[in-house]
Amino acid sequence: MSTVTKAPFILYTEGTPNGKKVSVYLEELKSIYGDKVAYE
Amino acid sequence: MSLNKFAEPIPGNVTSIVSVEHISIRTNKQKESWYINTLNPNGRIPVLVDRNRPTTTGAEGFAVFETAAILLYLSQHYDPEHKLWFDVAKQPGDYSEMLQWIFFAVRFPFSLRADIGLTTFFSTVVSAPCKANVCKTNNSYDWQSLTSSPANHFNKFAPEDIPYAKKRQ
Repeated sequence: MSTVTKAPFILYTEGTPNGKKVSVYLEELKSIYGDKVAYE
Repeated sequence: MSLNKFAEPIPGNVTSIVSVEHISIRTNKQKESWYINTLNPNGRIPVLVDRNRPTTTGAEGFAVFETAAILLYLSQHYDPEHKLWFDVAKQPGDYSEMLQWIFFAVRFPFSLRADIGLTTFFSTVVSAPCKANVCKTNNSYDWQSLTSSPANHFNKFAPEDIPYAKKRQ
């Protein structure tokens, strides 16, 4: 992914428990699919 | 990886796939009209916007609110190999169990740390005032002592007497 490309997701969040759940899940997705996380 | 890493809203190395917009809930930014109109009519966080799906709603992409809905949305569209979730057609039992635990986790007041929270809840909220007031007898709780204890959580949320709770004992 080039540096000028926008990230595919915007997450509106704070460090709340529910905010963390989404952050953690995104991290897990990236750990599996890398930057190639792609819409299907 | 330390769990403390997640004290931050998002780990740094995920920034290549997600832009984080910090919504200061202390200043009620999530209740502002732009947020309610384009992201979440309920005025809550978190909200995920998927730029891969342009919309005409004013957001930069398809907006998803509610934590469980976000997790399932990400799974449906971004985990085609079912590494992190289950295939509803091929693994219906596992899929159902997954939903059960997702709903439990997002509805439970202690959220992410549900297992730790449960323990903490009973040790600090229920047991502690009971020890102080010697209100636990015959493995049942004296709700009068519980609810009248000034340090007690229940006193704040259910300050009135609860006769049916005592009756049940």
